[in-house]
Amino acid sequence: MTTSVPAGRKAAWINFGAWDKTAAIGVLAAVVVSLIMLAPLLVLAGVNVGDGYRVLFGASAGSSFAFTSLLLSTTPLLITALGVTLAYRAGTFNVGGDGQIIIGAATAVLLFPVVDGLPVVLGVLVMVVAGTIVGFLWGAVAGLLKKWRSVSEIISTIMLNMLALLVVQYLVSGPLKGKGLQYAASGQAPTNMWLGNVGIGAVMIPVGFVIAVILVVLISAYTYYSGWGWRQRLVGISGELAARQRLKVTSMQAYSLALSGGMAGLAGVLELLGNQHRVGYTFSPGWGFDGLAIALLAQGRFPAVFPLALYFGALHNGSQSLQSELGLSGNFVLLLVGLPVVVAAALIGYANFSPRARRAPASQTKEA
Amino acid sequence: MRLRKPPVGTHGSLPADAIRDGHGTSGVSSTAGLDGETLALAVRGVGKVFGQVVANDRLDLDIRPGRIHGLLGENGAGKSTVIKILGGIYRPDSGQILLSGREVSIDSPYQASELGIEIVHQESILIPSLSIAENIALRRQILGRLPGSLSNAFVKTAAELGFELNPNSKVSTLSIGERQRADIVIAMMGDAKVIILDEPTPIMGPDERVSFFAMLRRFAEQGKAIIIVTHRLLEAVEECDDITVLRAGHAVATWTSKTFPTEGGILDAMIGSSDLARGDEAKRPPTEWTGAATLSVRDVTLRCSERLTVRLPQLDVRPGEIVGVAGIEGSGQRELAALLVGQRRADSGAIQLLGKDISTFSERELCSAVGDVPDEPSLACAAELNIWQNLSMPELLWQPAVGPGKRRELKASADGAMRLFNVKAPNATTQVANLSGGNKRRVVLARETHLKSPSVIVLTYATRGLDARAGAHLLSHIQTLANAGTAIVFISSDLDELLTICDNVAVIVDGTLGDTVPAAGLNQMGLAAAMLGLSGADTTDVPQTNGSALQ
Repeated sequence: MTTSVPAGRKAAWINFGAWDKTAAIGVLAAVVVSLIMLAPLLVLAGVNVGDGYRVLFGASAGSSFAFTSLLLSTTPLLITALGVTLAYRAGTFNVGGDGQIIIGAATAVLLFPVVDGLPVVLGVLVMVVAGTIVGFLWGAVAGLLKKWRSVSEIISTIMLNMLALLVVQYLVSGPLKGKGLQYAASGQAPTNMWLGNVGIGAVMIPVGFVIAVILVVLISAYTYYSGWGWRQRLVGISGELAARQRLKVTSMQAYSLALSGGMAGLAGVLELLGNQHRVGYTFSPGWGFDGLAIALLAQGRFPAVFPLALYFGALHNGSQSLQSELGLSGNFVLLLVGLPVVVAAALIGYANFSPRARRAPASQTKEA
Repeated sequence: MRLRKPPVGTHGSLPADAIRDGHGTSGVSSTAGLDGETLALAVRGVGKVFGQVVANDRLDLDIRPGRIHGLLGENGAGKSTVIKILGGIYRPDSGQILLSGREVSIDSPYQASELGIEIVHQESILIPSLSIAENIALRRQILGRLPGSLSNAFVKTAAELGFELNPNSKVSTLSIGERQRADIVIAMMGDAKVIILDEPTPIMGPDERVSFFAMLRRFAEQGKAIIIVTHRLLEAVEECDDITVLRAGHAVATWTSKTFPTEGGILDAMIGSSDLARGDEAKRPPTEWTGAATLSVRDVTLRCSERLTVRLPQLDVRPGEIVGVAGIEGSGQRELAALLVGQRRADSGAIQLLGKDISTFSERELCSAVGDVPDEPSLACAAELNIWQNLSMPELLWQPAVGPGKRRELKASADGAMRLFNVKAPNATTQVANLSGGNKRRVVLARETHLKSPSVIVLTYATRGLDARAGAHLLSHIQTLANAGTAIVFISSDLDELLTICDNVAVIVDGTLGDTVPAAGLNQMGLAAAMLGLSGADTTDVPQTNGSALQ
């Protein structure tokens, strides 16, 4: 991705570097413009514009409960986006988040009978580790196909999404179907293993979210400071350059894709234990793709992933209220998630290919 | 071979039998050759400057119909530029182009084609994802399907030339040779008056070459003017009717109707005797090299592409020794460097570094043991990262972790290296993308030759992009490193440089590396001839040298 645009033409803010002011402004602009563009859409839908915004964001702010539900909606997005960003930094695209989420969650469901009698912490740990490993392996399939057979991971991860969904559909309508359910979904997680909230004063913070935040900090620190992180980054900047520095480019990319899958698998287990408690067809409402959108908007920068995940989480969280209070279609939310991506793409395109960018390539600006 | 631009207007050093055409630098605009015959194409006083680089300087060319005209000159002599001007890709800054006596302005490749100038580029410009027919349609600005008449013309011309080509085959399925044949057919199928072929022969086999020139001759006999760019002197002498030599953007000699001097005479015109006299006094003192080689290569082969297989029978570089690899660019130097720095693995043979097989080294060990200055700075530094990050790449990549304290240290040593290597940038946190090519190269040199302390350094065209003073500074820096015991492989096409700083020189021709011979026994003429693959020329001052490629 980063190698497809000649370096000279790149505008500063989309550069693959440390978090900087111009980059932040770019992403912020995308979010703000998309929010403004929401107004005419609300008018078209016949809804009072003020009401629309109030309902959309009222669901996530204003009460302790709303805040907790925002964090709950954000958790799977944040972890998945973190994983996609990891892959993105190595120059690969993990489009398979949804499949990895659901297969990770299904793994935990498979383990319900095993963990039932175990101590709570051990039981949760077993499910979390198993879900992460299966997600890792699911991602590794795409990674190894890329390494060995040069199969585009964009194609293979999408196909693996289908595979995961079909496998889970089979499981939850047959062998793993919950007893007495009228619809196809798995049995419920052992209630003692549900992830609750951590109370800080009156504010309740979901355990999954706490884990997600710890992961953001640990993974950012690791990739920014470790040799592994730098090698991964060099692979993402230019495969040719990395190869000349004797890095194993394709192995690095395969490993990054697998790690990315592991993160999504973990997101699936945490969502299962923290929120839905069952796995059904619609377990993931598209977190994998949203995670990709977040990673793209963040351009591989971990500090940007966090606020963007919160914003997307708020949109998801508010969508239910839009539906229940204003009768807007659930598809409306897809628009909200899509808009900032489109706006950002337009901004990036403009920054790269505007007449000004063409006339004054960055490589010439500071010529001594 | 890259040589300095000779002083304009001094052609006193030309061989006596070089015929000047009369309307050269004098600026006389004439459309007729000496014999009054109308010229198919005349280039008059064309100049083209890129930034500081003078690519074409008051260039004159007379191209007669019905003849094969050889265009000779070193890399950077201005051949490609004038071809691109004739092909409508560049516009000249000054001068005129006359086609059959009429002044024309060529604004686009399409227009060049309309005017009857067809070019077969060195690297095929056919679009791989399209079929040949679609490529023809695109080039002729035809919307939709290619008319049957053109498709038939292609098939007919291909058959005439003895090529088997289907216009409906997709270009990406064709081999390099087939793409070139398709290019040739496309150039020949119309009624072009002037056909220009930019170095077409290197990818041809010997038999293919014979039939290729027979074909060119047939087309010439139909009255077309043919210009062929080549590096092979013998080929030019045997196959061309007229030869023009370019040097520093200028036509320095033209011989017509097979009145060629000896190969030595042509070579003299290409290189310039004024340049030949230089550099001999600065040679390194001859040394007997004994002891274990730091880098040792035996019988290595690497097949790179259809047109290039690198063969390295033997190469030894000992501590403190500077071994030059001389050759015309594109003879396999890049691949040679990639092998020596441990990026690519040989198909067969052995490369030993510090007495161990290079494949037993880890990436990290290779990084510290081998200094690598590739020809393209983009292979060695990341434009997206800033200067100190690029300078600290070995530490950042191979230390388990670099914390804030270590970062400060690295930044400080980066500052020092920037000053030492005269990297012109506001500070060490400047992004490398914002640096000029020369400064990027300085960053690479600072890291690979100064911040690291490798046992062997492989430099590929290291002085390229540096100004004369920085170049001289670098050469003395390399000698200092060698004196301190570093083994150096110095890949260059610059005769001066090679003979000035190398202890021993090996020549690479078409991917095959010859024996190393002491630089002290070589002169520029001999080295130039060896680089061009000429054997039998008087190449060495010292007759007892044993270098096969140099004898």
